[in-house]
Amino acid sequence: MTEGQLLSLAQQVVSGLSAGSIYALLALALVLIYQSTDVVNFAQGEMAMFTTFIAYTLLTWYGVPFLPAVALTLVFAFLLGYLVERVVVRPVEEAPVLSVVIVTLGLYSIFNSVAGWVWGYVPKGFPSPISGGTVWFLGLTVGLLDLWILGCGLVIMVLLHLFLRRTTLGTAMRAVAHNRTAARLVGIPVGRMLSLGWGFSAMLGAIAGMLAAPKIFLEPNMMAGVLLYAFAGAVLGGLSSPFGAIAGGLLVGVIENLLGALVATELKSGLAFFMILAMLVVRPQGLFGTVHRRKV
Amino acid sequence: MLRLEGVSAGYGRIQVLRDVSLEVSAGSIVALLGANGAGKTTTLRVISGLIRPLSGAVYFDDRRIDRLPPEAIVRLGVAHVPEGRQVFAELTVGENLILGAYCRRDRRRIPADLERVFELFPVLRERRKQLAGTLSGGEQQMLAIGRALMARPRLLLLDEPSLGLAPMVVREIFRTIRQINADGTTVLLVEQDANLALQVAHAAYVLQTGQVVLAGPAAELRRNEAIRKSYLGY
Amino acid sequence: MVGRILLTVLVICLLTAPLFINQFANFVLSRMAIYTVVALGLNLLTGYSGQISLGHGAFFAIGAYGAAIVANRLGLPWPLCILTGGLAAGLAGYLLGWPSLRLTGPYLAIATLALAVAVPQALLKFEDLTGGVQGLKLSQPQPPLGLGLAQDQWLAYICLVTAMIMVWLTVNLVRSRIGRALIALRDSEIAAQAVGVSLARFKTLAFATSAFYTGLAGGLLAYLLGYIAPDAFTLVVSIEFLTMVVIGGLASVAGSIIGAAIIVVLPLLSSNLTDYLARLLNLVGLSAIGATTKGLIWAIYGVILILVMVFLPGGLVSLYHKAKNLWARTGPVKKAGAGDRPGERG
Repeated sequence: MTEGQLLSLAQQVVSGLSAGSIYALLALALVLIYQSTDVVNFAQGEMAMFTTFIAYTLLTWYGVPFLPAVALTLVFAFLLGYLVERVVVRPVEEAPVLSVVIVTLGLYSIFNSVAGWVWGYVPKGFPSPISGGTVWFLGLTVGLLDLWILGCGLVIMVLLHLFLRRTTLGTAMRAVAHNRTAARLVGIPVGRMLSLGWGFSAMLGAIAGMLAAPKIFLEPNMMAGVLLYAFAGAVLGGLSSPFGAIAGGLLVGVIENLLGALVATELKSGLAFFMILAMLVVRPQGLFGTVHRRKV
Repeated sequence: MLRLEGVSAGYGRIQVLRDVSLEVSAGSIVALLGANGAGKTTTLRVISGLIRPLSGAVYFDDRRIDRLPPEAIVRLGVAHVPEGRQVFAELTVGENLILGAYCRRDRRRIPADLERVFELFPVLRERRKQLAGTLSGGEQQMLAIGRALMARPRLLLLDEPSLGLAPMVVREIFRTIRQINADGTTVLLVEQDANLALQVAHAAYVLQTGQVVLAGPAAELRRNEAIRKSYLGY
Repeated sequence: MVGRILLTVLVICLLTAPLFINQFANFVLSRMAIYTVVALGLNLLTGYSGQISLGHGAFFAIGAYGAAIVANRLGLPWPLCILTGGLAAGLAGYLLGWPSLRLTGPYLAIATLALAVAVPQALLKFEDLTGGVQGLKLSQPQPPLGLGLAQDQWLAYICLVTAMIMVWLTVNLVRSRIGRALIALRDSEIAAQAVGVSLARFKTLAFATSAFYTGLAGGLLAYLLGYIAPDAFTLVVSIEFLTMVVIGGLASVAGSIIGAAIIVVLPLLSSNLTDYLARLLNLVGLSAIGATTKGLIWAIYGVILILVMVFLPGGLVSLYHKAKNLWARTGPVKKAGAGDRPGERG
């Protein structure tokens, strides 16, 4: 390979990592919920999109400055996730998997169409502290926006890791994910922890949405494709492993970018499908997941 | 300290306990015996709040607790070490123990209590940073008991601590149980191995198909050969 | 006895209806029949076998396009084309059945979701075969001479009779050994295998059959519309299918029919509903920018899905069963011993 080709490959990898960090954030949100409740939240992308629209409303309709708007949006997202778990998901938690899947699909429909109804389907721009521009980095021309996304993503992931590993609350949430009965016996309020988990996942989704919007433009269907790739990433990394979700998301981003140049863009979702399918057949627990032993 | 009055409980349509009444006086070790499926574990789960009784009441220090959520019961001073240990396998030993104190309001005394647990079970101190799932059966049992102790319980519920453990380990654990009791914690012990249980207990109840069929001081039950043969199996 | 009489009356009504109702009503009736076939198929997989599928829109598309392509390129008579569509979808279902052996619950849902998204894209991509964005046209079957039927009536009959045949087939399938094996699989895979039910055979069979039904329905749709395009087979269609099966009642033939009827009729009613809602909002001083009625239907579907799952997981059919139970217990002749033992939930 010539140096030029190598450089261009490296550039593709970097921008793939940037898209990947958005997939990783969303995948992380999915895995957080799945770990503690065995629920796959098919509405995760739509909730992210909805909260990003809230941010948009604060920024453009009410002229709120950037940082406070983001902060308010995160609070809103947290409350939204918390309430959704408490009101909609909790009643069907003990029900068979199908019921919960259907409920999240119902949420998908609701968020998607209400967003379309309120804000319309015309794609909108989303303000971002970093807009265009490129930077010269180790011989590569990297988009500033891409670096920003990647950087934010990494910071969030590190913060989440520290929270889960170093704080008592985070440890308690992990405990609930692994062994609910023991958590109850130790006095951890399991219901509240689950709602918290949904709240945090919604926040992660909101961040993913706000990072993605400047690049892919804000409109009600913006997260559908992202969700699919987030699934691919989560499945690739292992639905039971947060670290796997991150690794999987980043990997999917890179693969998507590399293949996008080689394969036509219309088939990218088909590609995601085959990646998911292949992974699930060959190694259902993903690269980093653990085999889920079911009690008879 | 603990009183069950006419408790009936079950899972869905299956009724396991029928009209169970028992009493545990403060400072004692009481054994709950009986064959598999007699309802011993269910009794403990009713006390710790995992299951709500269909009828009857549970009193702790004359305060009714059978409608409270598990976390409230832990805060009142009841800790339940479940059947099969149920440690948090993917957390470290240290994290397991810290979580045991999750409900505690007096957070200043937690480090001292942690020390106490390490004194009772020195092996846990060695394995502090290890993942709980990698511990041996006996060590996991110690961890589960230690975790329960971190809640500073006044009543400790133990479900089959000897299950699946080597005799030497079991002896060590029972020695520790006696020590814990001597330090002031009341113990309600569920055991299938009646011989073992009667050696440490002050009093015992025998359950059969969800009903109390026998009760009395442990010494009496130990001595009575007929009772031993028909109810306790030895 | 009463049931049989009612059933016969219903069948007669359905078979004579097309002669008396207008063109649009026949169109709606045809669509109900088509969706009933889909619902039966999806119920076989999800209700009776317990496998989640979010991708039945894909099988629908395969059936429709299979029929259309064969009709246009090979000029076969329409029954064969529809059958081909069904078989093509059935084959796809069978192929999907194999990887599904290793997938359960959420994983299967994700995989089928990916399929549902991938197929419309493939339809757009392979233009030579599928006509791309423009879609394909089909010549609709002409009513046979001498019967004096209009086109819409003939189409309605084709759909109705097909649906009735499929209902009859399904009822028998469910009662047979195969049906019992599927139910056993749903309730406990491990236990079923322990008594000798071959997991591989039945899971793939369930997928293949379910896909076949849906493909058949797709073929019918192609002829009913005379035209198909990729945007009729998006993810929302898969969600629509799941909704109707859930509303009607899982693992129930009657439920499939009811759910299909509701799903077809609901969009017709709800356009009024959303106009009403928009006017309501205007009264309060708010206005919605993108107040397209189409958009809000999906919110309504979503709310219905959630409400049904929370309050009536058995679907509408379970209401009937509950009413029946209530009648049995409080009606004129109270059966002795029904739910009278203490500690037992009645």
